[in-house]
Amino acid sequence: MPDMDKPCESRLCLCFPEIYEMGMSNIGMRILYHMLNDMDNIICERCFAPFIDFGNELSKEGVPLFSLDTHKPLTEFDIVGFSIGYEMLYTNVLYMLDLAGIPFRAADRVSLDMPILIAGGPCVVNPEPFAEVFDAIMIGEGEVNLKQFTILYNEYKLAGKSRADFLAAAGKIDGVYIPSFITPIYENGKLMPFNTTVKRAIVPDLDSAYFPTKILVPNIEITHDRAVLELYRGCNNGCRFCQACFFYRPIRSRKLDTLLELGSDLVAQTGYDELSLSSLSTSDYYALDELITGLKSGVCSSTVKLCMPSLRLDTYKEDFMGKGRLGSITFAPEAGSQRLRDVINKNISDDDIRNTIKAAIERGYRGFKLYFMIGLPTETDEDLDGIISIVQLIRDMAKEFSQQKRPINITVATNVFIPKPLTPFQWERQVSREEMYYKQDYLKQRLQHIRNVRYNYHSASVSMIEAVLARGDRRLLPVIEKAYELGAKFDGWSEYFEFRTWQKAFDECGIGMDEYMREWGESEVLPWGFIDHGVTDKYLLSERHKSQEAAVTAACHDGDCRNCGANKLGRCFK
Amino acid sequence: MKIIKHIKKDSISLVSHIDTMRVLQRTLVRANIIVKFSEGYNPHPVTYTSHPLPLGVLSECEYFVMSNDDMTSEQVLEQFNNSVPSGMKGMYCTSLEKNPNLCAKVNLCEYFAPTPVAIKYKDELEAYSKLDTHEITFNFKGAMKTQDIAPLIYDIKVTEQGIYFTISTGNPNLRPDRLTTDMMTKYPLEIGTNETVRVNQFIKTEDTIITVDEYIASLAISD
Repeated sequence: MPDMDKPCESRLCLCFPEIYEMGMSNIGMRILYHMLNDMDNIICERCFAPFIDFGNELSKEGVPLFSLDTHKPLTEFDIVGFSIGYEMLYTNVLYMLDLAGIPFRAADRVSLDMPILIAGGPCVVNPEPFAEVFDAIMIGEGEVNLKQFTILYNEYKLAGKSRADFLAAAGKIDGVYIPSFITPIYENGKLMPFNTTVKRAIVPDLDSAYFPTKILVPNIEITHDRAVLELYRGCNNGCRFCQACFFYRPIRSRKLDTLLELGSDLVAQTGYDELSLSSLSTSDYYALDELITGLKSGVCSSTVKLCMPSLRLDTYKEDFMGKGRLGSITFAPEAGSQRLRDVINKNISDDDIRNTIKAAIERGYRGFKLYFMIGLPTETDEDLDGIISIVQLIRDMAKEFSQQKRPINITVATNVFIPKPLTPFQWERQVSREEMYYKQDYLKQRLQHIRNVRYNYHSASVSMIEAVLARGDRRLLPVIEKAYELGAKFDGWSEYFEFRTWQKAFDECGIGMDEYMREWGESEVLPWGFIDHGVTDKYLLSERHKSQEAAVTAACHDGDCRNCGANKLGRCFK
Repeated sequence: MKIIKHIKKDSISLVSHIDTMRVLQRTLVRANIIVKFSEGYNPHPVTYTSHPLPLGVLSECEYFVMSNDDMTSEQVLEQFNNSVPSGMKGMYCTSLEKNPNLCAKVNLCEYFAPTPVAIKYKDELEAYSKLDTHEITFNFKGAMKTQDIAPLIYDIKVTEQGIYFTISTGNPNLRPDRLTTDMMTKYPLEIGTNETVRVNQFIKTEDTIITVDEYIASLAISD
């Protein structure tokens, strides 16, 4: 536990708008919490969304929401920061602020002695729906901008300068966006071009970047209860639906030796018996074979289990799987037909699928989990039939190649495609709920007749709200406030999400969801257009045009650049 | 084999038995105390504990056994205490020939419920241990269940500080909170949910009763 009594100028509380078990699993929270506590003059504490029963008790007893580390009310902190990783957490941010007794809007807090509210996390790719809640928003990687922000805060606090002076100075830091400094202008309902830009901050050299190994180990079981080793940031595959791929560019890796040392330190300092490798596409780490060999002959040699997530279908290797129990194996072809996989630039061929399935069956796997997206641009019923064909292919190959008589179990899971900001599909329309239901029903009808096949699908209603919030602008804050007022919270939990609540909130605010689900013109100004995330709109547009011709773009490699624009923030493949 | 007697207090008393096992096993890795692993399909560290502590009850006498013969007791205790989470602390460590199998042997535990007002009802409360029958009703996994607890109460002593009660543990078992809840329904006592402390564990045979500390001392071997 970091020293909570050291002399310090300011105290910061990192809030995660989900329950403890989820928040403590977040690698970003782990890094920033320990980084800030390792700095001089600042103490960082944590706060998670109290679950509904505890939240009710806090309200009933009039106890304001407090930090987990020293039980200090949030209002007594200098800075309160939220990590927002999912659109459906927006109401939980308001829930936590409400419990803490902090007014929702920055403008309402100006004359009050309240903490400076900041936000960060993947949702800042389009921070506009929640922008007016915060005094400052960290665009990019917290190791850089949050660190500079807190150092500057200490300087200004020591000098006795005002909050307004501080925010004016903080706005000049790369990756710090002060929402009150930018006013979106609408003419005839259309957003006018911005006259300013906020540049995303990144860690230029990941290998030497801060990565804590002496971390807090929860005493209760959390969602991802294991040591996590971050291999690299960014992704070179360029799947056109994937926001993370473009958001985390440029591609920066940790060196093999650094990872082996960190992995061994992590296990020694935490006592975890599982070590997991984390990145957007682990199979693309430049020295994966050496890393696995090194870990298996070192820290993971006997009692520590090595977990392998995110293996790309075409890179499946038996060696990676180890000698453990053969349970089920998960693959994500994302689309059923070759044509549609070309549209989304998921560079795996029918042959890759066939070879991988054959290898897995011969190895003895009896369970397959397949992930697909539905509602992709240009998708037709034939593409959905492709999903059925892959299922049939697995069954046929099992009959042909399997030595066992035990039946193969196949789980097909579909998510609804959402045209997220900062992807080549950001201009595309979101399919309507009726279309989502049609596609889910289409697959359900056909898969239910195949034995030992299970079909799971993501809620169409949640996907619709998620899409609207992901592509939203500042006009949506009243809707989020209204939804919260009507009882929406923990919207990411299927048992608490109520579409009717959101529908009512939109109706009462007089805002239609269709505006945020329609196809946007390529010349339209996008709500997040003032943020320079690295990857340029020009590149995203060129990728969109290629998708319309079902033309693929090969993955980028060192010395083989696609000029996406991320290089201007920092060098790829450094 | 090494056995550590440790306390479990403060907020970690709200951590369940299964999570506590995990906490202790991770502590061993952090403390660099090498223990043997089982040789089955899913190897796990060979460790044992005494009877699980009910959730929310504090303890001054928990026992944790590990299969380590390579270190001295002092080393194990020092390294354990450097790595254990706050709220837990090793009191002593002893080397043993084999697992003392405390779960099978311990059949009585003494608890202390701090409630000074209990002294007013000293006679009535101490009479609990002399009753022939005493049925209580409680909610068990959603259904109401009745249990005769009279044979499970071994001794009750009331002092100026509160109530010391020794009750059956293991099989048959009486949860301390069920007894204190019953006492609170009959007398105006104030015992907080996170205030009862397990203070001693006993091994009772037909003609003797000894503390676990005495039993461990009788089995101790040199490092």
